[in-house]
Amino acid sequence: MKTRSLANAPEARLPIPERQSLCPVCLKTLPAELVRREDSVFLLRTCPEHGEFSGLLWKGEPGFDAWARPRNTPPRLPAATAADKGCPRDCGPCPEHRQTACTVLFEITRRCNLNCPVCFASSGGEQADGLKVEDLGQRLHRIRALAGEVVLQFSGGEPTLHPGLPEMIRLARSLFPAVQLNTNGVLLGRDADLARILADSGLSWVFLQFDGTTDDIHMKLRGRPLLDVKLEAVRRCREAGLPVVLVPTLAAGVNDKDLGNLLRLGLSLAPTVRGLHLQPMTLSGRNLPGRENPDSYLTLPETLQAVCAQSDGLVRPEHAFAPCCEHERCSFHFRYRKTPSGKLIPLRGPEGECCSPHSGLDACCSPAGEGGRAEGGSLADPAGADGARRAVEAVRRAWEAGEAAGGGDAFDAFIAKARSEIFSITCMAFQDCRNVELERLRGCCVFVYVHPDRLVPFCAYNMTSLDGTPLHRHV
Amino acid sequence: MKSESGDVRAEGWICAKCGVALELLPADATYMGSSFQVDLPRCPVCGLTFIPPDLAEGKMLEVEKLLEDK
Repeated sequence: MKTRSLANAPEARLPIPERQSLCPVCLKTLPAELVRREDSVFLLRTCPEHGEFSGLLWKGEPGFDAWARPRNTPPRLPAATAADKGCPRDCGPCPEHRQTACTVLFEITRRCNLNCPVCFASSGGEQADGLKVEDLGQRLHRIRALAGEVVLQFSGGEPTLHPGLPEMIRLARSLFPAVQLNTNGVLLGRDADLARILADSGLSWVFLQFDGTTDDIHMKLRGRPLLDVKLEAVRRCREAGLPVVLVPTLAAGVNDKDLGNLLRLGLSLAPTVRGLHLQPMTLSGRNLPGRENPDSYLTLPETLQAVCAQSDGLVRPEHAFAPCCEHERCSFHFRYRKTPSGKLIPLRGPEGECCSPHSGLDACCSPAGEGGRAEGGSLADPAGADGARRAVEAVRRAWEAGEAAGGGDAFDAFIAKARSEIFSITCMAFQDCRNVELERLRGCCVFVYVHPDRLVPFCAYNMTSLDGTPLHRHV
Repeated sequence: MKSESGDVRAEGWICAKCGVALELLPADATYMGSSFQVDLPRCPVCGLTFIPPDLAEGKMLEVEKLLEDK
């Protein structure tokens, strides 16, 4: 991490003003530059106290510039804190934040029934949290008031350990358009009734931590052989009619060569499994030994290429989309229809499509029309709120269970069938102290709720320095 | 154009080009690489298909949204 010499690199400094990052040692806010070297882009900054740092930001195809996606000024969340100490220390959000929310994580416990070598939340332990369902219910109402109609994620710790989870899901479902559970799946696999109880409570879908198709991978990342219990969790979800998204934490040299197997496993378990959601490992919280080795971490384009290369031609780079909600360097997504014969048909072709990075179009983010967003728009502004609603609707279409066709005409039957055949491959490249860009933090739409009245961008909330000191979690 | 039960109906529509009444006839719809047949008001002479507003703004819009990205 401590910088490599870039003295001999053919450099091209990008003319983007006011780029900022953090010192990975003390988390001080610093001016930063992007520096190109061959097919890579590095984020370069110098801390007066700790020296020069260069973090790998982007490597390979699609190229850094080709992936760029111009966007309009989105609506903003009402500021909950003043811009006082400077980004990213004021999050709440502060008036400098440039996005609204499409997702809010609600951490309902710090307990966990695993003690993984890798955990950005540094969760663990069996100590009781002492938070009653009534208190958590009040917080759900608070989140609704702060963030609006977002996808609500129950998270932790391991949220299934909280005995009030079904009751909270019922309440959340009355407040939010979709409710997601982020879980390691251990209890879902072991408890014969839990999946059914959660489905009956109104849970929309399960984000199931699922790192690989061999126990060797689970041992390295989670410290236990978990494959069987995870597959059992999927089976129980299928019986309960609960959609599942498989969520691997990707670490180079551990499971990055297992992506093709994960894809084939996911497709074999569709439509219960609605897709893969890839999360390249970050240098936050607890981490693997050798945490400062830059080769341990995958960039967004490397992840994109890896899934394509291992897919037997099913997934192709030109099918990928950049996001229009979060910053373009934060994610990619593929959306397919899986045919009965196992073929994947892209829902949008590469030519002339709304969100394709190859189209040059940006229709759903255009200034005119229903996707338009006014400067300084807020949740109270119907036109401004529309962009966030579109993002929420898109993930619901991808991950919710398709409704069974009951009567109706050929259109009804087609809609029901098509919904069940959608399979998505998505990736969220979280930021850490190696390569954080404050521009991306300010454009974040994924928040963590912090009691009593703050919403903190996910990557700011989980940011830790090289020695593991948190930026926000202890506040 | 739509009956109380929600079915698409052809009564009351005349093809402007041929001057004959539209009839409910099979039409091919193709989405996402799949084709299916649905009965729609069509001219029995020239084959012109009429898409009623309720269908365009209802089920067809829902299909389009399935294809839509965020």
